[in-house]
Amino acid sequence: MHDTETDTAEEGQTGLFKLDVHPWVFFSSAAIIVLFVGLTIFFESTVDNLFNVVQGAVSTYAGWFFVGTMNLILIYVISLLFGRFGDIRLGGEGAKPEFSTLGWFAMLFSAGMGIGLLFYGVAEPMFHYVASPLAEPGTPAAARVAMDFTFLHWGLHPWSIYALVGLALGFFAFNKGLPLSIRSVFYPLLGERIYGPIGNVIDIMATVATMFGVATSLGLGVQQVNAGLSHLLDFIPQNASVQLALIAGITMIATWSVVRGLDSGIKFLSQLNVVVAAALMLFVLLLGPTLFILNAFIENLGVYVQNFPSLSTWNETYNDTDWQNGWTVFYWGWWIAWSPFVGMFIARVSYGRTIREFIKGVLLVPTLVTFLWVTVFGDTALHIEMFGDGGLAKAVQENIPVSLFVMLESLPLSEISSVVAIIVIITFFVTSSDSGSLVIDIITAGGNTEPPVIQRVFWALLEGAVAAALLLGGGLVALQTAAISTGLPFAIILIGMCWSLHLGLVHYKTGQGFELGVQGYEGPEFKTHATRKMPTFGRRQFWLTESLQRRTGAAMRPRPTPSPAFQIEGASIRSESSKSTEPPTGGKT
Amino acid sequence: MLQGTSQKFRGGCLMLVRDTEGAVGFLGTAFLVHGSGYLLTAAHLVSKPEGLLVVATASGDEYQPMTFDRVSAIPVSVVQQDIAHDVALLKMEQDISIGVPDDFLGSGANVRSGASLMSLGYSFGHEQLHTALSVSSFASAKIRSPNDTQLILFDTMVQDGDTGGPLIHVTDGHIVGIVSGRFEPAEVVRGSADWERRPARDTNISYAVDIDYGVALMRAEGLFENA
Repeated sequence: MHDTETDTAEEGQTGLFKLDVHPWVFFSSAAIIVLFVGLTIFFESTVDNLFNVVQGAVSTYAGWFFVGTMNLILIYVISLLFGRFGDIRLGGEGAKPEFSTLGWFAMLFSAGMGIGLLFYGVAEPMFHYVASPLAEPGTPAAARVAMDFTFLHWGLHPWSIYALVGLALGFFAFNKGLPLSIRSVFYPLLGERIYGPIGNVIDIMATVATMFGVATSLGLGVQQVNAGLSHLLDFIPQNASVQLALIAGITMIATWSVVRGLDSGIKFLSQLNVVVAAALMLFVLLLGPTLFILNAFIENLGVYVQNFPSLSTWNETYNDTDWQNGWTVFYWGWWIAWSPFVGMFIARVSYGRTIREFIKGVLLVPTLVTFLWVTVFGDTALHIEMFGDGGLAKAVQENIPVSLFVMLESLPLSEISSVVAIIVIITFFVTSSDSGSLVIDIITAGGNTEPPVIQRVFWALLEGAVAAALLLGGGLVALQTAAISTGLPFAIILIGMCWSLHLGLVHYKTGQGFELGVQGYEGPEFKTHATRKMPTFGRRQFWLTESLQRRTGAAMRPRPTPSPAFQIEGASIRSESSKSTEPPTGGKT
Repeated sequence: MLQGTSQKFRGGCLMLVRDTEGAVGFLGTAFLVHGSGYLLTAAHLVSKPEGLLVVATASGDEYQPMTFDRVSAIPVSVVQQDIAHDVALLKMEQDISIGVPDDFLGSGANVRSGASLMSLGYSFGHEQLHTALSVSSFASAKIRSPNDTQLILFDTMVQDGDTGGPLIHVTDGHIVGIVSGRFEPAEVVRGSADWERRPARDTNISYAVDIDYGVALMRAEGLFENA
């Protein structure tokens, strides 16, 4: 039923040039994006200052709100895992998953964490090790706390945000037949008003935040790739033309992948990406301090669990510092700002999973994989710093992307591993970029999950263009700051989303009934009496072929010599009555 | 789970009756599908469209009188029907305030063999029992009849008055079919010397047509247009 509904919607909107756009969302988003990019480029320093002030104020005054919201959402998502709604299947009871479980994980992981993990897996533990808020820097205790903070920032909390948004979107789109769009999530609260201006504003915000999030990280990312490349290969300079070439290349592959669609393009790249990344991780695990890493993995998990309640609610209330604003609150804002994008993508690929499966797959599995990754890279770096040659902490503080390569250089076969690392970085970029454009495509097409090709190309190219324009004109950091500042309004939206999803789930199976206002009804009154049952009970039309139905007389004739038992049961009377039944029309004239 | 399902859907079940000169004769069950007073039922119940009425009965948890001498009825008319697939869409002719759940229409596609189902209907309406009964069952099979109708077989013996009632998927909480009757395997062998036609057996298997046919009627009536 839902499929056919989208089909009709599609037919209705397909017009000139085979476009399928939600006019308000599509054109307003495009205009706002171009306007903001223009303003940022022309008034860079003013805009930069403004956004920094806003971001600073948000962190200082709303830090507690972010911390509280993240924990609230995590608790809600975990309650869904164990709660009575766990067996609701996205897409209805008969829905079958579109992708294999491994392909699904690969796509979740590639879209959700992607590139940051590659750089910050090495860099973040080093930062916390040399400047720890809760331990004497440079001590084993500092190392433990450093890994704990890294786990906190990359662990259950961000994935619970993604799980919430993904689940809410998937539920309202696949089970309730609403368009796959952020606005649909608020149906229980807003009703039909989601199709009006409020819904448009929500969708435009999501589109703009996604575009700026993806485009600015593409722009900043190519600078990092460029730094890494020129560190590795002396003949590659570190300048704008190399970076533009990288943006062009990544955008080309991403466009190809988006046009090919989810099934071939994006899924293929995600799987490739995960395989290569796993190879890199295995390489570091085996050639690095293997035993130290394995010990550390278990211990880090234990420390994470042990300190989980206190660390995840820690607000540096009793320390007079603002360390948290730059780290925890920054991360929380960042994950929340990315959640419409990642959540939408997760929803799109999770059709046919039950809620319990979904939460296991989106919350627990990626968190564990992330922990393994962070342990392999972070603890290798810590091992080098604590027991080896050192120098990594310095490298990290100088240049974050280069630190990955510095670490790889301290291991054997660094020529090979560095090349693999570059491939992983690029494929991670492509997978973020293509899933970002796909999400924007779907939202601006009013929830059509298979938007026309020309729109996919438009958004993929616009994304590259925004990144390139900001790279040349300046303002990447400014706009990224702006994107993170949208985390505050989105955090409020997310809390509303919890409530709305809860209502939707309660109303899904039971909870709401039919109400018939007959109390005041003054209808005609009738006497009742016992009646004969319908003679057509057990419709013959369904069991006899049409040719037999026409020859009812012949086919229905009772057996010439019926057995006695037959008679006793009064069966012949019944067969008489069925003979008198008017021949089924079959509806076919 | 079953209790919640019953509570959700009981209020939507109404008796389908026909006005025969001041008295009403029971026909079967119809159920609400839309807030503007639309109901679905089995088409063969309403093959004569004159004098159709529906009667709402109490659906609360109190003990109810088992039979009523007089009932207050709401006139309905047949607005769409699909005789081949045995579904009809009725509309109340009076303006009555109706609340329906946000979503309750599923699809036969969601039923797999062995799934828990619940059927609701005025099983003994012909015998003057004016109460909707909730009956549980599980899905036995999904078959296509010779006229290519998608049917869900379920292992309960529905009574004559259940016809036209909803078949509900319990774990999904949605209506997946419209009860049509008891399954009656026709033992017809043609082209053979010993052909025979035995009278119908009363099996304990019943069947319902896929709700998709009902949804198609609702769509034809334009009930999904603002969505």
